[in-house]
Amino acid sequence: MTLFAAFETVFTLRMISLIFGGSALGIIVGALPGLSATMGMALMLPVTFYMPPSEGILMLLGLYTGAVFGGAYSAILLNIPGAPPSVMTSLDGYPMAQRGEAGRAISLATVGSTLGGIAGVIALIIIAPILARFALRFGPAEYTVLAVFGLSAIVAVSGKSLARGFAGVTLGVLLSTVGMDHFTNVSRFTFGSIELMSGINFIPVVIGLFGLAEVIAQILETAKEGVIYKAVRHFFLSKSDLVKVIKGFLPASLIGIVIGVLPGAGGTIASIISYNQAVQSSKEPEKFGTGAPEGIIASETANNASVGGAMVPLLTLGVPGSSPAAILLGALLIHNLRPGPILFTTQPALINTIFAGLLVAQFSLLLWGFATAKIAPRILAVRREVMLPAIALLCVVGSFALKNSFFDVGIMLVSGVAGFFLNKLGVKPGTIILGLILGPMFENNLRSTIEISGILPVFTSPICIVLWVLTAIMILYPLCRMLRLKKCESE
Amino acid sequence: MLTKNPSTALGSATILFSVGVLFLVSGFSDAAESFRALSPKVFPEFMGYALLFLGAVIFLQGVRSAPAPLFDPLPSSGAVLRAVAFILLTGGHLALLPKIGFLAASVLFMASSQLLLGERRLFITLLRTGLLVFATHYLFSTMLRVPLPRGPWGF
Repeated sequence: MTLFAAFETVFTLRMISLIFGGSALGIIVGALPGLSATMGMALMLPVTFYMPPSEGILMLLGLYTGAVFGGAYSAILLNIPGAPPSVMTSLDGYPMAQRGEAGRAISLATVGSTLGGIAGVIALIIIAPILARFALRFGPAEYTVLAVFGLSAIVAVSGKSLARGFAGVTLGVLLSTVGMDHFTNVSRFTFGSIELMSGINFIPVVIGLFGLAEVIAQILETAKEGVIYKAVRHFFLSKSDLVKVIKGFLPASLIGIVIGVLPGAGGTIASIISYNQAVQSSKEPEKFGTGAPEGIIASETANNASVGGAMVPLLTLGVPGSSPAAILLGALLIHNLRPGPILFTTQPALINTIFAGLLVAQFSLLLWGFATAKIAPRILAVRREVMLPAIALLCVVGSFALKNSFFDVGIMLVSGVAGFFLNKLGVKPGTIILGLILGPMFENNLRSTIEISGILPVFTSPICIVLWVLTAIMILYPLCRMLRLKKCESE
Repeated sequence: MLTKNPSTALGSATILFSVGVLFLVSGFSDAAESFRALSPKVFPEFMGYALLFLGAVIFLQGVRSAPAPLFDPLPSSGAVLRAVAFILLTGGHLALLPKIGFLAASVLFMASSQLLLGERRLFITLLRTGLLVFATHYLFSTMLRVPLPRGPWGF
């Protein structure tokens, strides 16, 4: 069966309903803090037992796509990234919502996610085997330098003070070392607490730093009365917005696809790197973090492009590169389908149906995104004395839902209060999150590299050399620009 | 010379925090160091020193720059009290969750925090609280199967 024939299979009422229904459910799951694509897919997995493989897989793929996109809603409207890949979206989405442009921000996220998703699927269809071979060349040394490359985003998220940015990232990395050391079983900063043995999960920290800290800040804003943001205007995209989408789409998609292919990297790291790239290549980098549409486009395009990328190692090698991909692997195995090169020759119809269905799932985002761009921002019209406790309640439930742990709720509360003060002192929450996400990736892979073959591969492997060069460019370019600006100002 | 600047406060706090980190790192078990290429101390220790250095840099930046307030404009004492009370209410919510369950603890939290933030219509507050808490419970517990905590009376 060709790809075109597969579209005939997908374009039936039942299939379309399953894909669109799956993506709607995914958007809800993604928008709720603490609930992840993995959790949503795990919940729906038993339902797929009774479906033909193609239907079950496509529903799960719709859910996966929707959940990655859904995180943008709470990131934009409430400053709580509903899903980890939306952390960078909140940096510009929330300021846009504060300006009364929540609808426009959702529309930007919708178009970016759809285009990124389509690019990811096209890459999956055309160059999956090449990408899979590339992913196999990534060992601990390459992941170490990839983490350093990700950390170079520090320049993009630091705000005005680079020293504070570095302090925030260092604090985040330090927090990521809490718990039992994976290599030696030595307890680090656990203070005898059993809960701390497994480390600090970054999701309650994200919810606290972004969500609860903002609630506290809003309570202290005595000047504001009534609703949090009065006017909700600009629902749809202007011509200049579309130009920004077209400009930002290609680099963000490429980053999303390449990072998505790497097992263990995923949408969060893709959006961090893409956001950094967008800041560095912008003529007005100072606008990022204050409600720049380019920031939303970079983040959302990359994280949805990573969905197609994540399917590459799963389908071509049978290696699930992320937790949602592991659920998909489970769903395939339940139907006696073993992913890998053989699946392409034994089940070409199914593979083509998956490709076609995944492509249709991206268009479902367009439908749901535009349908809700006008309605969803109405949540901001709720009075602040109702809205702020409701956000706090969502923070509590979201932190608890992650592992059904009261300890995580405590972590969220402490992060919220600390985040409020750190923000006031100029330490941006994004820097702490950056360190918390990339810290374990850096430390674990660096130590693995040293254990296996010493430090040398980190500097000599061809992929590492390329990544070091890119890191140097990402750090030095903005520094040179800053120096040039200072020189111009002094003249 | 100390100036009233957020940077001096942040720098001082960072230095103190990093000293605490380095002290804690010195107490890590070194039993594994003989058979591992890299000790579990190395990474946190490096981060501790990095934080110490950055704290010193931020402190010096604060000393060199002009005095500036942490809050601009300064919030009213009423707003500060409300914020502190709200944090305490959220802490109370967390403390009550395992004891009286999600529904009862959340109803108490939502109603009291709305009243704290200036809502004066008691009936509307209670009605809205009930709707919000039950909707959240239904969404998470029933639809998404998150086992929210139950109280001694079974809900």
